[in-house]
Amino acid sequence: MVALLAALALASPTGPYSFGRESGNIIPFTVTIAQSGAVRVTGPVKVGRTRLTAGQLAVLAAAVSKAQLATLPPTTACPGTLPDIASTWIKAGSHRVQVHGSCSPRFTRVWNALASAVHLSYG
Amino acid sequence: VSLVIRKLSSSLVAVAALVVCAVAFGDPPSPENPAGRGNDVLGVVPVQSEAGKQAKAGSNLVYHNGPVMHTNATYAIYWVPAGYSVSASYQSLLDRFLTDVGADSGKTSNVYDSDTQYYDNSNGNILYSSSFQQDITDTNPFPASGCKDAYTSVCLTDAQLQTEIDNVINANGLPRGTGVMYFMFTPKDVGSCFGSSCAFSYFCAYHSSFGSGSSVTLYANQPYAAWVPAACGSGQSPNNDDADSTINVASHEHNETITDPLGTAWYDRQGAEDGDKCAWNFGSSLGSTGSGRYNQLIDGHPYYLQQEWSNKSSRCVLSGL
Repeated sequence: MVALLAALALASPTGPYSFGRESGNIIPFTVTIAQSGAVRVTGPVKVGRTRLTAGQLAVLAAAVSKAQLATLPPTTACPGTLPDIASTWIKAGSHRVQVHGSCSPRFTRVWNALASAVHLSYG
Repeated sequence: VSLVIRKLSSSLVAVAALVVCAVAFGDPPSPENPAGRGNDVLGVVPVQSEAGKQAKAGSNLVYHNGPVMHTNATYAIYWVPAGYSVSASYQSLLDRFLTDVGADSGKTSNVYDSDTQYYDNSNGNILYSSSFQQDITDTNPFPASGCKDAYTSVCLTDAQLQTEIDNVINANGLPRGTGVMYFMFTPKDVGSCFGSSCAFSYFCAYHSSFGSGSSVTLYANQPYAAWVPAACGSGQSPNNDDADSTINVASHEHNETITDPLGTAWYDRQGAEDGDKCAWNFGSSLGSTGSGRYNQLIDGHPYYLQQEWSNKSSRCVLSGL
C-alpha cells in the first residue's frame, strides 16, 4: 500500500519522459520527450522523430503504466555487471529509474518503447 | 465546511507521510533489485539535472579489502587475423604509450601518479612502477561470432576473448598474477559484448579477470575506439592517428586495473572506479600538436587522456594527488 501510494505520488505516466546512458567507459547521452511531444537529444545518438504525436505519447504512457515503472527501485545494480559498462536510466514524470546491467525486464520494456518511439539509433 | 477541510488536510498529511516513509526506506528487495554491488544507494533519487554530476563526482573511493597492483607489467596483444589489419602507426603508438607510461614511473606529472594514494592490506601503497614487456601479434582466426552488435561484422563474447588471451599466454609462456596486465586490442569492424552489453553502445573498453590465486589473469578488452568516434572518440588526436582514442580508454582501463584489479579493492558507493568517475573529463590542455590538443606529456610524448579520481583532493586530476 505504501509503495503504491508512493508510486502514484511520484510518477506521471503522461510524461515528460527522458532516458539515456551514463557512467562506465563510454560517452553519455540523453533523450528528452517533452509533454508537447518535442524530442531533444544531447550526446552521440540520433533520433528519427523530433516530435511525437498525441497518439504516440499515449502509447508511451500505456507502456510506462503497464510496466509499473514507478514501482521499480530508483537504482538497480545487476549482479556481475562490470563498472565499465554504462548504466541506463529512464525518467517518467518525476520518477527516475536507473539500471546497471540487464536484469530488469520491466525497465527494458519501457526503454524499448521509448527508443522505438523516437526511432533511436546509436553513433 | 471547516470540518471537511480539516479532514481533507489530515488525509493529505497522512498520504504525504506515507510517501515520505516510502521514499526514505526505499523498496524491498525484488527480482529487479537483487542485493549487490552499488545497492547501498537504493532509495536515493537524484533530480535529473544532478544525476550525472552525482554519478561522476559522488563520494570518494572506498577500500573493499581486496588486492591492488603494487607494480604492473603490461603486455599488448593485437588480435589481427588474415583479412584484418591495423596500421603500423596504430600499433606503434599504443606500444609507445605503454612504454612511455613505464618510462615515467615514479613521476608525479601524469595521471598515473593518482594511483599511488591507494593501497591494500598486504603490501601498502601502490607504486607508480610500470613496465611494458612486449607486444604480441595474434593471427589466429576469429571464431564464429558469439554475439551480435549494432556496429560490427564480427562480435566476440567475453568468453571468446578470455579463451584467446589464455591461448596467447600459454603459447608464449607468459606470466600471470596480480602484477601483470594484458591489453587485448582488436581491429576495425570487430565488436564484443559482455553479456548483452556491447561495445560502442555500452562500453568503449572494459577490464576484468579470470582464474584465481597466482594464476589469475588480468586483462582489458580494447576495441578499436575510433570505429565509432561519436561514442568512443576522445575528440582530440595529438598524434594524428586513430590510436589516440584507443589510448585514452586504455589509460582508463590501466588505472582501474591498478587500483581495482579483481573488483574487490577501490570503488565508490555506486560501484564506480577511479576511471569511471572521471570518464570523458579531460581537464585543461597543455598545448597542441597541430593535429589536436594534448593534456599529458609522458616521456616527452603528447597524449590526450581523461583524468582519474583522487580521494585526497576529492576530484578528478591530471597529475599529482
